[in-house]
Amino acid sequence: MVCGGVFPLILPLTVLVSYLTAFLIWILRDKPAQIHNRAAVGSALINLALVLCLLPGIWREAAFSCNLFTFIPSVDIAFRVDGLGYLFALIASFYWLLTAIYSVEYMRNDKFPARYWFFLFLCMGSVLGIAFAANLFTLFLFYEILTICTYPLIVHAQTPQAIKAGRKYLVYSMAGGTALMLSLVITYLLCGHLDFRPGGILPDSASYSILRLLFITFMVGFGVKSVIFPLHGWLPDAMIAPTPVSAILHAVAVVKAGVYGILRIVIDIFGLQLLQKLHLNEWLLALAGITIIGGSLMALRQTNLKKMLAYSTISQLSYIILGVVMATPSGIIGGILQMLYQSVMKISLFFCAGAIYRQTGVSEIADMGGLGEKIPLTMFAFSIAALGTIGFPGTAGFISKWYLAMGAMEAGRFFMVGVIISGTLLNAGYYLPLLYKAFFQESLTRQKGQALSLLMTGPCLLTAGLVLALGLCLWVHKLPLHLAQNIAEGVLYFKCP
Amino acid sequence: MEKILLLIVIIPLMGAIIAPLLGQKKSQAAFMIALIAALLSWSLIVFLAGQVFSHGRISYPLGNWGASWGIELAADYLTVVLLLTVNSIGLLITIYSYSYIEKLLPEAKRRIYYYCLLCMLLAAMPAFLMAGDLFTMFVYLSLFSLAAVALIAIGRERQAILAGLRYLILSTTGGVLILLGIALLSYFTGTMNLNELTKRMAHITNVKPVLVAISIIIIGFGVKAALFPLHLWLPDAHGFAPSPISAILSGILIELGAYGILRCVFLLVQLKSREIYPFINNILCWMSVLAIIYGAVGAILQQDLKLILAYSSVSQIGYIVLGIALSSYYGLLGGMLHIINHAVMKSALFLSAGALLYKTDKRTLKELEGVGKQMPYSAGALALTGIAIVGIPPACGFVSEWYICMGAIQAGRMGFAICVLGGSFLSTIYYLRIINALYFKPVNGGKDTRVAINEAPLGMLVPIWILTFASLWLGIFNRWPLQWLEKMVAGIL
Repeated sequence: MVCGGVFPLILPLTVLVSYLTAFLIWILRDKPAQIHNRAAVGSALINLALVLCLLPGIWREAAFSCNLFTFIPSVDIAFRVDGLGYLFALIASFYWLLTAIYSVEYMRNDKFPARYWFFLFLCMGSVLGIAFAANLFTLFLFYEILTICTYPLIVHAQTPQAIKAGRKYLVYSMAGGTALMLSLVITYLLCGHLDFRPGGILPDSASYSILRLLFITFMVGFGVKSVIFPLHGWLPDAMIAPTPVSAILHAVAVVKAGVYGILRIVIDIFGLQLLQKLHLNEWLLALAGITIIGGSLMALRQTNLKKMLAYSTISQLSYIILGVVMATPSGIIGGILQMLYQSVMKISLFFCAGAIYRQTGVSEIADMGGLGEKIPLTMFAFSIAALGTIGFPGTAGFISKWYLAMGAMEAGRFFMVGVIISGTLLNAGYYLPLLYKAFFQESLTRQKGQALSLLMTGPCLLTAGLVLALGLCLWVHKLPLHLAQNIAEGVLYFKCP
Repeated sequence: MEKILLLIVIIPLMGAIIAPLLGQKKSQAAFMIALIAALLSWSLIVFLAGQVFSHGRISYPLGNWGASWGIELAADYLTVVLLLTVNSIGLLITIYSYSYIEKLLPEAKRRIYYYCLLCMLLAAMPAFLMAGDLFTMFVYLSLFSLAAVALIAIGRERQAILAGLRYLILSTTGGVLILLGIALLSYFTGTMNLNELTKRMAHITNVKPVLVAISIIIIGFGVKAALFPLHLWLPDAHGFAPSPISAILSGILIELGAYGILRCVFLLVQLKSREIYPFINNILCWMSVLAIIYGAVGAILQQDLKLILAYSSVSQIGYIVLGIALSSYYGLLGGMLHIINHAVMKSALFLSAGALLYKTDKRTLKELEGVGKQMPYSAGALALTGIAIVGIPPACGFVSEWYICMGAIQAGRMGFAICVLGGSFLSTIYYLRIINALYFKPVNGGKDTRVAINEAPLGMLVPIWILTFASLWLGIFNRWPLQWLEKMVAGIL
C-alpha cells in the first residue's frame, strides 16, 4: 500500500529542513552562539516531529513515495520510505536531537561554531536523504554529499593530525565512491533502472562473473563507510573530530549509512536468493565474522578511550550484516535490532567519553582509575552502555544478540554462533577491565571532577536509560520489534508494501 | 534569417577594428566596445538558438556559392548548444577582464590591444563552431590561435612570453597538419564541406588514404586540444597567461580542438569498411586515458594553483576525447556534454583563481594558506566548482563522467571505465590540497587571528558566481543540454 496525500511530502521536507537550517546558520554566522544553538535544536526538533508523523503509516506497513525530477532517463531523484529506511531515519533524527543538545555545551568555546553547525546540518540532511532514497541513485547522491560534508568536521581542530586524519578519510571514501559509481553504471546498463525492489532487480540471466564483480565493487563502495575489514583504517584516526561528531557521525550516521547501503544492496538490488545462488553470502558472512573478531582484538590493544570505542564500533557493525545475510527470520530481526540498539549504546558511550573528557580531562584508558568515585553519574551511564555492548542480560544488547544467535541456529550455522559468542567474550574482555579500573582502582590524582551542565549529562543518562528500558520493559521493546518483524517478512517473502 | 550566422561573426570582428580606432585615449571605450560586441553577438546567438531548436538546422552559404564548393556557415543542435556555452562564457570573461586588466596592464595602450584581441577571439570562436566546411574551420582556427598567442604574452612576463612562443610554434605545426589533412581529404573525396563529406563517406571504396587524411587532421586538432602527448604547450601557457585568458584557453580553446576531433569522428563513424578504423580509435582512446591519468598526477604534483588547474585541463580534455573516441552512443553523448561542462567549470575555476591572484598576488598553495577567510566569495566559488571537477553528484562533472563511463562499458571497454573513475579519484587529491590550503591549514602557526575580509570587486565576483551556479545547474538539470545532444547523436549513429 502506498499512501497519498501530504504525507509523502514530508520526505523531501525533512531533508530540506536540515539543509535550510545549515544555510540559515551560515547566514547568521556572525551572530552570537546562542542563536545558532536555538536554530539547531529547533530544527532537530522539527525533524524528529516530521519523522514521527510517518510512524502510524509505517506501523500499518504502508510506504510513502515522492518523485522529484528525472536525472538520467528512467532514474529519478525520488524518495520512498519503508520499514528499514524509516528505522534508519528514526534513529538518525532522534540521536540528532540529543547530539544537538549535547553540542551546545560541548562546543561552547569553539573557534568556528558556525562552520561546525553548517556542515553538521548538511550531513544530517544527507543522512535523511539516504534513509529515504527510493533508488540507488538517490542514495548515491546523498552518500557522496555526506562524504564531502563530513570532511570539514573531521579536520575541525585544524591541527596537522586532524588534516592527516581527514585526508585519510577522504581518500578512503572517495575510493569507495568511485567503486560505487562503477557499480551503479553497471547496474544501470544491466537493468535499465536503479529502483529498489524487494527480491532484487538484477537479472539472474546475467553472467555470474559480472554479477560477482559487481558485488565486489558494491562492497568496496559501501564497505568503506561501514568499516568492513580491510577498509576500516580511517575510522580510528577520524576520532580526532570533536566528540559529538564522533558520536553522531561515527557511531550512528556515517557508518550506519554504509551498513544501510549494504543492506539495500543485499535485499533490494541483488536479493537474498541471487546472493545464495552466487555463493556470495558465504563470502559476506566470512568477511563479517573476520571484522567482528578482528575489530574486537584491535580494541583490546587500544590505549585511547575513543579509539577503543571506534574499534568496538567496527566490530559491532558487522553483526548487522551477519544477521541479515543469514536470511532467516530471527537473523534478520536480530540484525535490524542490532542496528537500532548498537547505535543507542554506542552513542551513549561516546557521550560519556566526551563528558569524562570535559569533567576530568581524561582521554587515555590508563588514567581512568577512580573515576567511578569522582564522576559517579557519568560513569554509571557509561557502565550501563558498556554492559549493553557486551550483551549483558537485562540490556538492549542482550536481546539483539539473542536473536542473532537464534538466527544462526535456524540457518544451521553453528560456526557463526561461535563467532557471536566469542565476539561477546572479547567485548567483555575490553569493557570489563575498564569498568574495574574506574570503580575499584585508586585515582592517580587528587583532582576532583568538574560539575557538568545538564545539557551534557542529560543525553548521557537518557541514552543509558534507553539501553536499560529496551532490555527490560516489553512495551518499550515492542515498537522496534514490530518494525523489525515487518522488515523481516518483507525481506523473506518479497512483500512489497 | 540565415544572415544572423554571419552577423554573429561580423559584429565582434567590427569591434576588433573599431576598438583601437575609437579608444586611442581611453581604454574604457575599448572595453565598452568589446562588451557591446559580446552582448550583441550573445543575444543574436540566443535568438539563433531559439530558431534552431524549433526549426532544425540552419545554414548560410557565403556569397551564394553552392554549399559543396563555397564557404558555408551552419548551425545544428550541437553547434547551437556549444555556441550558447562559448559566448556566454566569453561575455562573462569580458566583464571580468575590466578590473583584472586594469591592474595587470597599467598602460592604456596595451589594454586597448587586449580588448581588440579579445574581440578577435569572440569572433573567431563562434565562427569556428559554425563553419560548415573544413577549410573555414582551419581559417578561424588560425585566427583564434594567433589572437591567443598575443594574449598569453600580453603581460610581458618572461615565462608568459616563453609560453606564448611555445604555443605559437606548436599550434602552427598543428595548423599545418590540419591544412595538409584537409588538402588530402579534398583530393580523395572532392569536397571539403562537412555535410557533403558525411554523405560521401559511406560510398568510399578506397578507405586507406581517407583514413590517413582524417588521422592527420585529428593529430592537428589534437595539438590544439592539448591531447596527451601533444599537451606540452598547455601547462605554462594556461598557468602564466592573464587569468581571464587562462579561462578562455582552458575553458574554450582546447574544447574547440576537441570539437574538431569530434567532427572528424563523426566522419569516421560513417565509413562502411571498418578495417583500420578500430586501430585509429584505439590509439585515440589510449592517448586520452593516458591524458586523464597524466594530467591528474601532474596536477597533484604542482604547487602553483593555476598550474594545478592547467594540468587538470590536460586530464579533463582526456575525458572529452575518450568519450568521443569510444564512439558508442553514451560515449559520444558524454564527450559532447563534457565539452560544455568542462568549459563552464574550468572557466569558473580559473576566474576565481584569478580573483585570488588579483587581490593577494600569491600563486602557490603555500602562500595562499588561509585566504579562504580573507576572500570568502572567491574561495567559496573555487571550492564549490572544484566539487564539479571531482565529479561529485549533483554537480555537472558527475553527469558527463557518468555518461562517459557508460559509454566505455557499452563499447565493451571496462578498463577504460575504471581509468575514468581512477582519474576522478586522483582529482579528489588535488582538489583536497586546494581546499586544505584555502581553509583548513592553520594560519600564522595556529594562532587565531581574525582576518579582515578583502574581496575582489563585484565586476569579477558576478561572472565567477554565475559560472559557479551554472556548473551546479547544468548538473541538476542536465536534461536540458542532453535532449539536443541526444538528437544529434541519434542522427549520426
